[in-house]
Amino acid sequence: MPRHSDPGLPGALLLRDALRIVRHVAREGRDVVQHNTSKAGRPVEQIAGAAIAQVDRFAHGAEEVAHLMLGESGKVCLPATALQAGALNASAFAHAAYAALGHILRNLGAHSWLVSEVKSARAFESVRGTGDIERATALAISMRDHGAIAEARMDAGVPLAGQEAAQLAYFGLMLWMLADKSSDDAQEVLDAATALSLALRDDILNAQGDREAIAALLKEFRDHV
Amino acid sequence: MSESSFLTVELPDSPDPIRVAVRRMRWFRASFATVVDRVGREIGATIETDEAALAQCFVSWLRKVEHLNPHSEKTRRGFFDHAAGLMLRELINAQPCRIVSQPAEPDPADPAHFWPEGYCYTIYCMNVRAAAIQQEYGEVAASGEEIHDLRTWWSFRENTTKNGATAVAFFKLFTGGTPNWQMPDSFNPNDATLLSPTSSAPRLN
Repeated sequence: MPRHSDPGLPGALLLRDALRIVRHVAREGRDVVQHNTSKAGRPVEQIAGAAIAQVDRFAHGAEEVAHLMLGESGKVCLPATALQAGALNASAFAHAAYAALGHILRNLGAHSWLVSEVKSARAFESVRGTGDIERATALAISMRDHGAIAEARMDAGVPLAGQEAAQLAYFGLMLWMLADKSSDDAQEVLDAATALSLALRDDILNAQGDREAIAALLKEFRDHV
Repeated sequence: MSESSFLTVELPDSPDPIRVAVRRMRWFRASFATVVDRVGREIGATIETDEAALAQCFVSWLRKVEHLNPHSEKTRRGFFDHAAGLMLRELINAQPCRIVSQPAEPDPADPAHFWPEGYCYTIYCMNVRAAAIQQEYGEVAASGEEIHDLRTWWSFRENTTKNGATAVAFFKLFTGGTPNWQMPDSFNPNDATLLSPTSSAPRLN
């Protein structure tokens, strides 16, 4: 989390990230305490219960503030021209990417995650190029390099590590951005992009950082979402 | 070969022609769910779909079809049949359906009760093929008598379990065509039975 406001990014974006970090840490902390004390016997469990209640109140507080200040609707939307150079600013992209990545990660079997709008915005700002496949490829790599998905924890039994889910999510986001969304609900298209990413798991993970391989995959499937 | 009928299902609307829509994951998933739901209601069973397996099947089929497509006007009509047969092969290989509750009143003489999963896959492919050739050639698709023949379904299930490729030949049989049992999943553009009709039926681009 940055200590000082970043002159290049709007304050609202930095505040949203900060609140989400607080919320995430509170939730994670509660889960860790719960998990470690559930089998420790009655005295420890009782003592821990009071601590958990405190952490819970803190987590709820952070949630309430987050909802009030962030106005999170969970709705995923992005203009069809998002990948055209100059069609979208970094903040708007980061805001849409936050909702879309969360939706994809949930569908991939994650139970908790931390997505940074600040890092997504920085990734977006660093991308050059004119063609949409070229920009999408660069953006997928840049988001990974910036760590836009700071953390993803998968449900038990999901045969996918958090890091792998993050790779698939970046790819799915790009596929969604490239896909024709004119006639269908954006969320349906995002679900289809997620399903494709999961089916292409081996190809995507093998292509990590390989610009040509990622571009070839995006080109192959952009019309099939 | 005599013509018969099969369970027709109204597929979801699409602004694109069926041949394009079926190569899009969103329509493929929606249309498959529609057919599975309909078959489940017809036989009084609950059928679940493993979406990940279905997506895998889609990718595998799409790559195969894109690779094999002869892009020839002469064999275009025949390739519609072959592509639908390949889809049946991929569905049988991937097995995305699972019976959660068996038919309420089992009818051992009905192929849909004998192998509900295989019936879902077959009916899906037959409906997509029918919708596509109706749009492209104004042709009303029928089926072969074998679609209702339990002995054929025994053989269908047994053979495709051992060798998924035979699904393409069985599909040809179910659609009233002449199967190639030697190389069931290979597309031979020189096969005279694959030639496109010469009529100038209205075509979508």
